[in-house]
Amino acid sequence: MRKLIIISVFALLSTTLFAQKFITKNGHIRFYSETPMETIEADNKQVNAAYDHESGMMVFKVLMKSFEFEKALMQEHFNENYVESDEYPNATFKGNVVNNTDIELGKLGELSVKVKGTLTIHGVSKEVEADGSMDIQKDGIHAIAKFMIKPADFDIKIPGAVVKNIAEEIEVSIDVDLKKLSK
Amino acid sequence: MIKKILFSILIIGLVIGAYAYFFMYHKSHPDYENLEVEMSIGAQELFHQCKNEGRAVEYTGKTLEIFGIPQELESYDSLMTLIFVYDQGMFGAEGVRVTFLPKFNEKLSDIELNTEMRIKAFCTGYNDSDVVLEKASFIQ
Repeated sequence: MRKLIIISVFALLSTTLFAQKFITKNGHIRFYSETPMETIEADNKQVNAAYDHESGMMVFKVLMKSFEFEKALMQEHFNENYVESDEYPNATFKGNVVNNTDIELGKLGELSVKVKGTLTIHGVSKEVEADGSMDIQKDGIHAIAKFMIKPADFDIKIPGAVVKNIAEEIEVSIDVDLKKLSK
Repeated sequence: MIKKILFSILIIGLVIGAYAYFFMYHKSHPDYENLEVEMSIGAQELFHQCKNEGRAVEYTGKTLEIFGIPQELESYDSLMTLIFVYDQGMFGAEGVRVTFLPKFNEKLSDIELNTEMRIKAFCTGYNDSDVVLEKASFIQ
């Protein structure tokens, strides 16, 4: 009986200790488009991201106006003509880590993860999958991932005059330092 | 003769067009520190209006003057952010986050939190957690 109580207390403690949420508000998302005509890169370092270890849920919130381009004209076109950021100011991702059971917070080090969920850009939602890695650290998790998206899938229309300057598929890179959410 | 005139007009038109395109293509980003303030509002009121009244669209994409008492200073990847905390939510503390132009990093390191400040910054929107302002500078 005593043994059972000790095991139960230990199990309860483990659940409480490890049922943790990790967040950042300084996540980094970069997108990269390359064509023979032009290379376009944009960075957003104000990304909100959250990971709930218990459920495996991952959420990203991205303000479109926080993307910075090297050229001011590109930034203007991106906001005004392509993603129409006045009308659709946020992009979101809500999904889950497919292999969440592989993630043990007590076991420090890097492991491969697959994330699956719904990405909403320009008011259009689409299921996406991304391969990435999580580096489990003492005070948080460093997560990176890369995937491709097609502007056309999100009803983003590229005018004919610049269609050769923007790749049909754009590479999206994610780099977030998630910290334990203190209660 | 008419042919020559038409050809000259065409050449001049092309040169002007190419110059305009080059000028537009390479135009620089705004000088955020010297942009004119479009609206002035307290940080707490700004947060309240964006969170509870859905009025973020009125402020997004505008240069704002905000005033209030920041409680936290965060430093990440050479960017420093002053944080005005007014609530708690899924992403932790919620409020107004103001990221400064790098030239103010030294001044921010010496700053005294929990004192009233006036700041000019460009509002990039409300992300259901915080009102985000960037390229900030202090108003003297």
